[in-house]
Amino acid sequence: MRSAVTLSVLLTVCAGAFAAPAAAQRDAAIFVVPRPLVAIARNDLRFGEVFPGIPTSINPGDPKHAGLFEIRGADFGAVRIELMLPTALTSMNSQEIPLSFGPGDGAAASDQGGYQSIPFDPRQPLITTLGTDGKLFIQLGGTALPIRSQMDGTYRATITLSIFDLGS
Amino acid sequence: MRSQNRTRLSILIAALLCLTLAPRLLEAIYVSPHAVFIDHGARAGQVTLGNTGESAEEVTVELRFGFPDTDSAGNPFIRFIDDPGPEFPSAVDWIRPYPRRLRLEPGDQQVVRLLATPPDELPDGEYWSRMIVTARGASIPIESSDTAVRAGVALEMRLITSIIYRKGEVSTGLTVRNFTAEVQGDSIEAWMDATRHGNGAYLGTANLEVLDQAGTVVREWAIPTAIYFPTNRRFALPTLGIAPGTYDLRLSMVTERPDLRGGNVLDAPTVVRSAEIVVP
Repeated sequence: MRSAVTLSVLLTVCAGAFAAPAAAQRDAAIFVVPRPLVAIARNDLRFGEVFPGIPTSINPGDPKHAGLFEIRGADFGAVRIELMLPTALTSMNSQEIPLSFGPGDGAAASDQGGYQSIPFDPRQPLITTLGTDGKLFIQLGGTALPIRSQMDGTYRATITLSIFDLGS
Repeated sequence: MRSQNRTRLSILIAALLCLTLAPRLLEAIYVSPHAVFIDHGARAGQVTLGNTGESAEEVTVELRFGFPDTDSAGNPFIRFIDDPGPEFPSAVDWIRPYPRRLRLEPGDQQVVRLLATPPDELPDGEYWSRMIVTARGASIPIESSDTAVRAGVALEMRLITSIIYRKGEVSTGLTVRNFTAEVQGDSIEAWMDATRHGNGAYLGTANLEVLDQAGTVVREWAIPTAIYFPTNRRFALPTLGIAPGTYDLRLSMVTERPDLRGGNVLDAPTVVRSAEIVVP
């Protein structure tokens, strides 16, 4: 009996990781509630350890290092996605590692394309609709260009992901 | 006894599977609903902001005047106007969000109230604003080392949704002119000139259907569309899966929006246009 209860709790906890916000679910039992607009960062773009003088490129399809974002909303919801990309990573003592983003560094996938990634230029806005399940996945790669005399340390930057609801 | 052990083993496997398969949510922020409608009688609305991610989020809420528009290539975007003149029905100056700043711990949600104090002589009609919710999560952990160069990128997320304030009689309608379509590469490029009527925004759906010579629908798309001011809108539709031949592309602009709460969408007559396309 205790095992059954434990299993039930485990499955509930696991389901929670995949589920829509609880409030939305609770309301859905009473009347139809428009789905919230949700932005999820599943992976940050990570260059990891880079070597002075050697560019490090992250492919948008790299599951470990590429940025992975998920947007959820209404089925077929019309959205415009804009990424404000930094030009450099900066260390605590203001040293910089230049960053480069190119036409193949973005990829978008939804069930309308069978979840096949379609490349896009992350420097340009992406205007699209969410899938039949109201989801859209965005992958982001890029290149870090450390110089030969790059000082050791931790370098950071911030990407701004803007999601505009175009349907209202 | 053996049965008990087997059960425990099953639970352990289930737990491990869950921990392995459960997707990570470094940051996750939501806004509900994505379109807020405030009635003049109530003069108040609300949105719920929530954090389903794994780290706390510092959230700011800002209102700016803006509306969907199109650029010269027909692509929709939100046009923001910082100091809108009287020709723009802005509600930004007299709607206030409370609170404007909040911290959402993982799993938290909070209601943001939108309180309106419109001018006394406000004419009947709609008044608009955009709500910009910005979430800044904790910076990503990067293993520190004095003997290596390590680099990572953190994320700031912005969700831009709409607020519509309505007073008195409100109506909408649509005229579509110059509906054209042609196949370019692997896409159907369709254009329409659309003009809104009445004193309310047109919130509808552009239903686009490809019909063969027998009138059978071979592909269809439903694109939520909002029209506030005259616009020259382009739709890019993939031809993937459409056999070579001559078709009609039929556009039906309907005021049906399953993503918006019933009663908030103003009715208007359906507008239908069509154009011939040739898929090579």
